[in-house]
Amino acid sequence: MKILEDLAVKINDEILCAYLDGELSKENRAAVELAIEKSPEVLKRLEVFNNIDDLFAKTYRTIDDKPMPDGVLSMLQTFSQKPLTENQLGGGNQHSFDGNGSAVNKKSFWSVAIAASIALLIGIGIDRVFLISKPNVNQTPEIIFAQQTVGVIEPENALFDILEKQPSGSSVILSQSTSTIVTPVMTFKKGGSGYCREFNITSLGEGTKNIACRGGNNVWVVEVAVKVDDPSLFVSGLYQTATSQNEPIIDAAVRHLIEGDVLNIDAEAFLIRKKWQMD
Amino acid sequence: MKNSTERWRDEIVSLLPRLRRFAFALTTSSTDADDLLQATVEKALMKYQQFESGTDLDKWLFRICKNTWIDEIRSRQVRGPVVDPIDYKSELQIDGEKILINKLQLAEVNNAMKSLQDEQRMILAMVVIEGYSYKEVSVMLNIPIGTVMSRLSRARIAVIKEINDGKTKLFNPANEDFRGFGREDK
Repeated sequence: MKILEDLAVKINDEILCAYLDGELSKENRAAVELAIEKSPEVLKRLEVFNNIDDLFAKTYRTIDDKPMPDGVLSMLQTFSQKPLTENQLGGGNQHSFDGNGSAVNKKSFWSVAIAASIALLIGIGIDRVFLISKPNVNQTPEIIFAQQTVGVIEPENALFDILEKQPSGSSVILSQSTSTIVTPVMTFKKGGSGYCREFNITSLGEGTKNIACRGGNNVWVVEVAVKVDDPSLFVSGLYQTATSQNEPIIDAAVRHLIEGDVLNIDAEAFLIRKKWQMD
Repeated sequence: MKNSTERWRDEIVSLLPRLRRFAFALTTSSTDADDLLQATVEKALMKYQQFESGTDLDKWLFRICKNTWIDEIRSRQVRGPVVDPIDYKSELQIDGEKILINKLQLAEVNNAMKSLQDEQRMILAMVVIEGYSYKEVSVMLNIPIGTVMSRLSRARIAVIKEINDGKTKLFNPANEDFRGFGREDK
């Protein structure tokens, strides 16, 4: 006991951290526990270290909610089909990490797949497309929300705030109980004026792909809302594929509405900061 | 039946979330983290022929990620820092009841991380976020275990001080002076 007490006196931050990290010998652990018992200050200090660890874990796990970068997934898919040598893969054209987000394709993986494989409806004058059933008055607010139809989004609707402020690729959980999640997918400039955002909504196993555009009158209008057969495909971010028969409609709508390219994340962030007042 | 190349690829895919969290902690920016992840995976694929069976793939990838980030830091020291004044906002989430998950708090944690020395940040990310042991970190960073231990504790104290100097006051009583405990700060 005397030895333990001697050890307990020598406790410092390094030992406390090592205790928290499970790195101490049995004897040293016992010494720390004795010190905790005897000294509220030691206990308090340990709690502070523990709190900061929890905060770090929580902060840096938020990135798990974002889809994996398309570039990484496609690189791995290509590699599995045909392993490449250094010259073939990188050569002089290797991806350089420039810290500006320029090398990552911000367009969603599934929309790239669609663009590559489908050319239906291109050039058709899509006005408003509505492929989901009207909400039933007996449904819960979350289900109704998930079935946001075409038309004006009122400012008091949570969706308005999400389209105004949430970056593409980051999901917003609106209801834990019904797993209602909204995920802006991408932003693009609309031909003529204004900007549009594509976004996904899932709730209770149902899902929609949508496009809303923001006009000069500062309102968001859902132009297209398409029910998706298997919304799990756009929840995980990994291995998303274009399988739904309705996805060509979204793709065609984007082609119809878009002017130029999809905005990169910096341009989108700038627009959000400027409250979409760029024209 | 998958061949060995596909199995190796699948293992990398399963490690992507961990690798990206590590990249996020190093860069403190989700955009930079995705870029760093991509550069890391690309380098790993190019080194496929050099990968020796029996090597821990996760540690191998973390080492590539760490070295890529160090190269980037050196490059930025020449070029100057990348200014991304609103970046932290993109890391934030909203919960089910549309209450903000203490945006300010998350942003300040990230700012505190930025204030650390690069190696402190790496050690903190490896141990606290990814759960590597001191021994594993000492091998990956090629430094003694004692150095891992002291740098980790200093990193935690530096972060706590930084946060306490900020607006959030995460640790009450507010603005407590979190000095080194049991020994003088160096």
